[in-house]
Amino acid sequence: MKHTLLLVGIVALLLGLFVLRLALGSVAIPPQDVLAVLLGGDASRAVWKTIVLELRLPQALTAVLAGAALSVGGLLMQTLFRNPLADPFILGVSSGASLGVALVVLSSTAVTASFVTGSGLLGDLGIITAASAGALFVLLVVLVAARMVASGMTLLILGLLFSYMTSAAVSLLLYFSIPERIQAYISWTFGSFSGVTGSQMAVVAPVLLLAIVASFTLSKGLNALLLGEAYAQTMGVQTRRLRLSVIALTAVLAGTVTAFCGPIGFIGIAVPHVCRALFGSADHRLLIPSAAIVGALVALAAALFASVPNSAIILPLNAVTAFMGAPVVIWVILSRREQMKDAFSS
Amino acid sequence: MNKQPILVLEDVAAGYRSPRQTVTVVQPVREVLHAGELVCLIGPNGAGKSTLLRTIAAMQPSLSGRVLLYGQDLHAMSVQARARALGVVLTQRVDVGLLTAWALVAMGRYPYTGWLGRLSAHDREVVAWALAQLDAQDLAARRFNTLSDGERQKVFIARALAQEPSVLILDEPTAFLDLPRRVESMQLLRRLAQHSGRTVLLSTHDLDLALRWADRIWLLPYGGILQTGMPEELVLNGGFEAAFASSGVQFDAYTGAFKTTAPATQQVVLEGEDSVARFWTRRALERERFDVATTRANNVPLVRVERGASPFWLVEMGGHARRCDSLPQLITTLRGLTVG
Repeated sequence: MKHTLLLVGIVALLLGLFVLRLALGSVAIPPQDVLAVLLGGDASRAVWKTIVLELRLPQALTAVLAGAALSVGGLLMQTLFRNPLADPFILGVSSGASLGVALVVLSSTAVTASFVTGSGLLGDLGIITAASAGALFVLLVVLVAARMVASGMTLLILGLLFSYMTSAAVSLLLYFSIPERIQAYISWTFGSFSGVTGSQMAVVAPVLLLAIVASFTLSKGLNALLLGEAYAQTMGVQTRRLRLSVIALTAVLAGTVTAFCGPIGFIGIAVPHVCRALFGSADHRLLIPSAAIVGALVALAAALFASVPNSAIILPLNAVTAFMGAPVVIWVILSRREQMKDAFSS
Repeated sequence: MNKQPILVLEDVAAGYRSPRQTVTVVQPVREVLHAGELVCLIGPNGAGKSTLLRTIAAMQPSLSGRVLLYGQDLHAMSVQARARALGVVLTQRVDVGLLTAWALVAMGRYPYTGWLGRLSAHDREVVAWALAQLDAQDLAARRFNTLSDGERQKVFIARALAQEPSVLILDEPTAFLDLPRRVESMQLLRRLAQHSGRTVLLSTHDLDLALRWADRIWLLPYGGILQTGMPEELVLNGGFEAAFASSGVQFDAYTGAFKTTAPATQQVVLEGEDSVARFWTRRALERERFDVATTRANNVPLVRVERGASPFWLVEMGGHARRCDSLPQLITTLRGLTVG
């Protein structure tokens, strides 16, 4: 009952923030006009309707979906590896995407150059394709590894080493590239919710929503996994299949978000902890929906801060999420230590 | 006692197989576990107790043979069917801070619930029953990380019990507990076995508890050839002594405990009416490396335990007698005799 009330409160907050996100930006639009447009009516000025529907609505929806996807992905990884500091990119999905993008943006062959020139760099279909290809490549490698490797720890280390290798490759590409391209690559790494067009949304939204729902159907097995794979197995969970599903779903969640928004840090690691603390529960049947909702909320808030209201300034999204997320991670580490002290003194 | 066979091991060998080599840890075992039995698996560290238990529980493949539960191959069953038949408690310690004890025990119902794990009224009854079996009802609402080691152990056993298994397998359930808690959990497991017609198989290093409470002992020495029997049988046929034979330590069939085999420094003869006082005097003397005999001999000091308000000891040697009022005094006196 208490949980339901809390959840309703968070959803209400999310809706409020959503309207606020549509209202605020370089041009402020009164909330009543935003609501009128959302309900199919007209705003006081014709241009406002265009701004809300064509520009801000896709951005806000992207933020909601990306925040939800990253938070659920982070929760899945934290449970799978029983590691509070795991995030959705721990298996190297975003590193793969980065390498894909770096190859396209930084290398100067004639083929890739055609991707970059022309339209603006962010949101360019070439970058999305490159990032998706990179993420997909890593997904396949990780899935093959997960089939062969017995221990989660080995998988974790493989993911880490893979990240080092890709970032080494990216530094080489950066070293040999020209300033304009480096600038383009770096602005991709800032992350952004503004690159998804309405037609792309028709693909992104169903993929992410399906992956989140599919994650929810794994709740029971994930709960058993809290006791470790050995125990989960003795309680009737097919751990091997569960592990592969969890990895595949996380890769889809994190890979899709990275492909369309760039590598967005800290939401995926911080939100699951916020949810555990809010609900005082480790039950995934509660945590997965609440991580999705709180994640959406946090991402919207970050987007709101990033596009400084009433100005043309847009801050790097990753800087905002880091400022919001890092204190949470610090708090997790410190409170964990408290817990351990309790455990030892008892 | 109900002697219905539940679990049958048909030449089950346990160990590890890699493409390059096969390491057999436990040689083929042919054994039967009956309803109502408490069986303790004991043996020196590294002999393969956990490997054998994991193999029986189908947590790792057997090298050969079959594990039959009511005639069905346990390794060929679906994980869910197996989870309904077999409850397992492992040695590894798990930290699940945010779960209540009740929620943890309720996980034991997973093999019976649907995809979302929703509990029926019956499931809730079973959870309550499992907690009651372990006298752990008052722990139900507590968070797992606020529980003591003994309480955590109870909750984990209750969780396995909530699976309503025919066989309960526990790997060193007494490892992290203090002595009263060990005795308690051993009695509890024995009661569980007897009252509910389940069979309980556990590994332990608590030789003393195993000897006292097990219906049968599985003794696994290095080399992996399992010997089984009633505890007393294995003491009498020298199985214990052989299994734990190593330099410096020896199983003493007389006391049912281990003693050091360091060479004795001095002979004494011990006599006395009070058997308790005699027993503990003997223990003290043996620890101090005296060779304690019970028949009198020349030139060997005689210690007589007398029981007044408190025990005292008379040391006789060459016609002289000295009274000692404490064990340290007795030992100093005996040492003095050889020097002089």
